[in-house]
Amino acid sequence: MDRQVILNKATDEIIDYVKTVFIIKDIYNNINKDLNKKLDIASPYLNFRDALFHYKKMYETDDDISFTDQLACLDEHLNRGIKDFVICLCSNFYIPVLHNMLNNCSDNKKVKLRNVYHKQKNLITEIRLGGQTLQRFNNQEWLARLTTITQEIHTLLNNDSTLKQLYLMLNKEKRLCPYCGKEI
Amino acid sequence: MEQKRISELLLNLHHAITGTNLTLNEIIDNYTIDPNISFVHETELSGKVATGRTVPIEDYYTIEDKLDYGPSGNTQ
Repeated sequence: MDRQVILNKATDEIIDYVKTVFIIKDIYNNINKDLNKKLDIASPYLNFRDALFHYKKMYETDDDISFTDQLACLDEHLNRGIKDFVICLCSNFYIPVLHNMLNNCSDNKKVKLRNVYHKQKNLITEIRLGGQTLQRFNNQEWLARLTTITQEIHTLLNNDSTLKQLYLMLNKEKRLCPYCGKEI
Repeated sequence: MEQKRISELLLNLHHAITGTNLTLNEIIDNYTIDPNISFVHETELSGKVATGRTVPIEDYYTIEDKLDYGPSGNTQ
C-alpha cells in the first residue's frame, strides 16, 4: 500500500484515539464526582505522546521495514493506552470495592456479587496473561465483555437498594494503595 | 488499527458506568479544564501558577528562571 495512504490512516487512528481519551476522562470525572474520589490515569496520555513519537518517525524513515516497525509500535501504543485504562479501572476501583462488598453482605447476596466479581477478575487475568505471552490484543473483544460485566454490576446495584447503600458506604471509606500508599 | 470501533465500545462502557446516554460529541463539548489547575513544571520553575488554557511558555519562564533551575541543578 502507498505510504501516504498508510500515514493518512494512522492520522485518523490518532484522532480517534484522542476522542477515546475524552471518554476515559469523562468516566473518571463521573466516578470522582459521584463518589468523591480522586481516580485518574496517566497511561492513555503517555501512550498518546509515545504514539506521536513513532508517527513522526514514520515520516522520517526511508526504509520500508523501519516504516512498518514504526506503524506496529504506533498501533501498540494506542491499544496499550486503552488496555491500561481498563486494568486500572477494574483493579483500582471495581475489584477492591466488590471484594469489600463480598466481605460485608449477607450470604444470599454474595452469590450474585461473586459472579460479577469473578467475571471481572477473570477478564483482567486474561488481559495480563495475554500481555505476558506477547499476544496481539483484540481490544474490541474484551472491551465488549467488560461493558457487559459493568452493566451487570450496575443493574445489580440499581435493583438492590441494600447493595447500593453498601457500595456507596464502602466507597466513602478511605483506601490506600498497597504499592504507593496513596489514597485510591 | 481500529480506534473508531474502540471509541464506540468505550462509549458503551461510559454509558454503563455513568448511566447517561451522551454522544461522543456531547462528551467532548462538555469537557472543561479546571481554571484553577496548576502546571507543576511551571510552578517549580517560576513560582507562578498557570490559570489559563494555553499560555505561551515565554510568559512564564524568564531567563533568570532558566538559569536558576538548569539541567545541572546548579543555581547561579
